[in-house]
Amino acid sequence: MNSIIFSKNKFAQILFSTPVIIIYSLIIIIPLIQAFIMSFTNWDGVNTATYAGLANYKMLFTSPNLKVSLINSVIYSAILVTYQLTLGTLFATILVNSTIKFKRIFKDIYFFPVLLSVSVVAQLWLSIYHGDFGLLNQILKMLDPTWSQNWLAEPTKGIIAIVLAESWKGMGYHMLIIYAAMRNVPRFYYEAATIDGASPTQQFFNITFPLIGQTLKVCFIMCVTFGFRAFEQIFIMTSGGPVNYTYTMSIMMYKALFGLQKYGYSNAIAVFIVVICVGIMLMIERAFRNTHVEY
Amino acid sequence: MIKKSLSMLLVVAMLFTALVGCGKSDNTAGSSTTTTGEATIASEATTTSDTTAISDNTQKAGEFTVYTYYADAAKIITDEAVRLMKEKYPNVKLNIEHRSDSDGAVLKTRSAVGELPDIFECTGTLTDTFIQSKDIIPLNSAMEKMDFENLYMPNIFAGLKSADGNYYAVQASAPSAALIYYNKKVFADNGLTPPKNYPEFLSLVQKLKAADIIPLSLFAQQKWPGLQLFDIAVTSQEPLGITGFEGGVKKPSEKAYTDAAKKLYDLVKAGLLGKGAFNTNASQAFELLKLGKAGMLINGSWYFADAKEYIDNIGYFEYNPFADPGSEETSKWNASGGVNTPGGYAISAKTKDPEFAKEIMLNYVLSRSKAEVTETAGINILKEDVQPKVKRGESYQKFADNVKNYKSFTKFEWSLKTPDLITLLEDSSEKLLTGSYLPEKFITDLEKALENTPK
Repeated sequence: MNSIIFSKNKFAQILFSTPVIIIYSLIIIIPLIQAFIMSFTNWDGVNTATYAGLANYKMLFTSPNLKVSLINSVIYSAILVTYQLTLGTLFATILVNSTIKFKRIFKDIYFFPVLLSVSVVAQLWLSIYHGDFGLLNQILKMLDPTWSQNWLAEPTKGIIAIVLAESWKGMGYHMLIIYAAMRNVPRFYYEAATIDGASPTQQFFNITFPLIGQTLKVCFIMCVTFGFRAFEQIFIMTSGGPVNYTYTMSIMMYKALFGLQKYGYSNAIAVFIVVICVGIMLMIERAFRNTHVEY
Repeated sequence: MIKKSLSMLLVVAMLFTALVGCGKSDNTAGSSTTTTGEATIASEATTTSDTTAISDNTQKAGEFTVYTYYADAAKIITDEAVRLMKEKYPNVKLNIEHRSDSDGAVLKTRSAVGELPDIFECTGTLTDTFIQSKDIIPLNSAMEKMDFENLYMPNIFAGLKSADGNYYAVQASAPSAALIYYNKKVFADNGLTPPKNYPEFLSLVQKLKAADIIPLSLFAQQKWPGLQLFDIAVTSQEPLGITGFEGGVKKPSEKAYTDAAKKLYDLVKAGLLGKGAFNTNASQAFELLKLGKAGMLINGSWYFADAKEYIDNIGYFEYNPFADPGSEETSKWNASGGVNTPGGYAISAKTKDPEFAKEIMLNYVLSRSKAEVTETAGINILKEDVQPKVKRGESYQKFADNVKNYKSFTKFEWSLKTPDLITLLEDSSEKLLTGSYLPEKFITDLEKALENTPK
């Protein structure tokens, strides 16, 4: 009844959608437009900006850091997806289906790292990875003195070490979302499948997996786009260094802003990040377009 | 129709907020100019009517926010300076705010919203930015009234004047150099002595490495110590060091720079740095030296104050360890680091009582100069005799005695002229220190990059 009134009453439509539109415009649309405009300027952050044409974009696309940042972002996304979604789905499946005692405690333990602040997690993993007095190297040195590594100070190895820490922190979050989706699958599907003789594996791939597909899609988008905007953990652990070994697009933007103090250039990078993230999101949406299942 | 209405609403909302945003920034700029104008008039009026009022001002009431570095050794210096100010100006309240940025990002943001602190540390190129935006005001009137420069040793303020001949930001610092410190006990236990030239230095690094001690504790989580190490290496032949790149006076392909790169590369390959150097912060690096897990440390001469608890066990290299045999004595007095870095304490153009704020700020600087001597046994740069409360450590006293003998200084990297040059040199030296970047490539790439970098 209410929905009929709402769909016919234009005033109600405008009244209720206006606050959302204004807030969305203020927080998302206008800053984006401003960033886009500023990306064509030279600006020191205080004085009047001057028009720079495409110079900032030229600087971006000729920067040696861009290739490293993009490769690192892909590595970051790939490991996040593999670790968080695979383990998240696995643990959620075990928690939903098993009859083990203290299930809730396990769930809480998996979720616990999500509650920790990024800086705490970063410091914790720094003390594990540190080349001179880190736990990992201490253990390796005990086994063989030559096994110790520069975990955070080498190309590829550095970004993998960081993303593993990030994955550990965020896995519980995705596990909980997937767990909630699995709990929402009606039990009678499983009962019918069991009567029909379907094995647990068959039930998972033919009932659970298709029915939580939309949830997995959201988690997938979150993991993939996070790789391109990853910042906090990297900044605290390595600041993108040494050199540009652990750069991502966000770190590149930060360095342009606070290192080079080129506000226009950093806005150009920001615009590029938005374009990449939106592009990826649309691609994933398109890929998952026909996967919505209802029994 | 509904779609049209919603689209219109969206467009109107965007335009409205965009215009409000634009209006705000324009207004800020406008009001900044106006305020500066008012401030200038006010200061001139005060100067005319109030030239003999400095002593009377000691009873004047006021409250000022001071944005300054307030950690490590600076904490006790600041506390003592505030105490001295309270003695002189009992009715003035100074609210200390810790400076949380070194790149001016916080101050720029505060400037954009018109909320700069009354008194703040304005470092490096930020001073020029704020002069251009009229966010800070000239200090000359108050300095002349107090005869401020004459309270200090000669040349303490050399280089602090801006291009228009005015002082906008002042600080009074004793000469500080980048030094290589060593743990005396570690050296004694391993039968080592401070090196006087490069072959001795290389041998020292190899011996420390063989003894499973990190030769040099480098807090490379910050980039400047690595760059300063390169600067020390260059000054063994070229007194200009990294400052030679400013204005293109020197080129990386010149012998002093290529030799420095090769020496540094060889030292890294010999194990100069620990595996975790790039993830080590200053506190961790200090601990490594203090506990004898590392043999050496590079830091500015302010480290003498930071290490006062264990200074008796800390020495520093008096000779440049990158010097070629035979040139030890000539390179000994080429210091890396700087005397007068641009910037210092500045006054916001929007402060309520600019002339009084200037007087308070200058007295605060004066109090800090005294506190640096009394509290941290720093070098006295005042003409007034100020004595430290505690005796300097042996190595610190040696440095204090040696300062006057230095023939040249370079700069600490944050004092270089452009952020582009700072970033380029930081990144390049960091690459060299990873050991995976050949010195020849370092020189070639640096030379090429310098051609396109504002210097």
